[in-house]
Amino acid sequence: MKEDRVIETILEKMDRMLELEEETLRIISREGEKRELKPLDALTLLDLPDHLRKTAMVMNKLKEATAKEVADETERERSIESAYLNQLHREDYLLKRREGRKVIFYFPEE
Amino acid sequence: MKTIAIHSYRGGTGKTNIALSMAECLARREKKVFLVDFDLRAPSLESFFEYKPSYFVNDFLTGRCDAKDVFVKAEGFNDGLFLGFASSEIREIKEAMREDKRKQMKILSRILNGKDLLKDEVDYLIVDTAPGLRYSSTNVILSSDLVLLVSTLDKSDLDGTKRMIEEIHEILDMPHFVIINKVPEGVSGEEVSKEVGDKLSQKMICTILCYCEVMSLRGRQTIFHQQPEHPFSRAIEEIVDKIS
Repeated sequence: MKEDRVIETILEKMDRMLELEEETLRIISREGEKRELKPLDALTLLDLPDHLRKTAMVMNKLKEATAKEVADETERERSIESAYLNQLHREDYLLKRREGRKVIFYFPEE
Repeated sequence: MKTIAIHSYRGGTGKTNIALSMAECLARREKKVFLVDFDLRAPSLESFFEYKPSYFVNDFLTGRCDAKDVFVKAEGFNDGLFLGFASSEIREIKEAMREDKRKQMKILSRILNGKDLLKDEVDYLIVDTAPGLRYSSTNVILSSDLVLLVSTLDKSDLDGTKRMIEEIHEILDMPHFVIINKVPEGVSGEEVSKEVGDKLSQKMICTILCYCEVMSLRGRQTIFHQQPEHPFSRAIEEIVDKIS
């Protein structure tokens, strides 16, 4: 159990590092604050690689979720889902925000 | 719950007849079945019944009702058969034709969540889709566990079915089978296999002959309901044996 906790902490820190890297890249590339999200409709899903499609389908259902919640649905590792969710975020399919220690991926309310 | 999409490349392959017959067959086997008409551009399930549903599939997809509100119990059939109708009102058909990506994304989300709500309510969800590759059919295929592709021996139909398998079902790694329907009398099994080609033959689970008795019902009833011993009905039993 103690080992699990240590791994979880490392993964959280890695997530945070990834976020900082993205923020830095965004500042360097002078991206605007508002990002236009691309829709994850059925035909777009067909064009996604298999590994991302599974994650995207779950996000389409949940609308808002942490990597752990997505992993519970896909039955893959949380760290894998975290990487895929971040990839979807980088490709402008999802937004993400931090709430304390949690990173939440979501689609904006319409 | 197992979700089965009945799909085809072209219209007029006999999808609805097969979908309704399969649904009745499963209900006779004491399964709880929900058959939904998802051909939102050209609904056809309603022609078999005279119901006036309170809610249509269109209402569910646009958030005007829940998935279970669409249920209509099929009278005169086994207890476990429930139906979901698509609206044939032109206003609703026009709305369904809007291929706006964000709207379609919401619809896919409604389908995935609706499936979750139904998973403890029914054993089989059978979805009669629109033919071809369009949003309404792709949304259903993405949400299914198994796709049954219905084709005739028409060359364009077979070529289109093969392309769909290569470009959709294989990419999605989606379990799929092919049913060849309306095979003209006198065409041997060997000829059918030759026409269909290796690719589709491997996935073919049944061939059904073209029966005048089926045509003579003119989409008002199924031969499966009327004549359980008819060769068409036996073919349906064979399909259900293979997929259940």
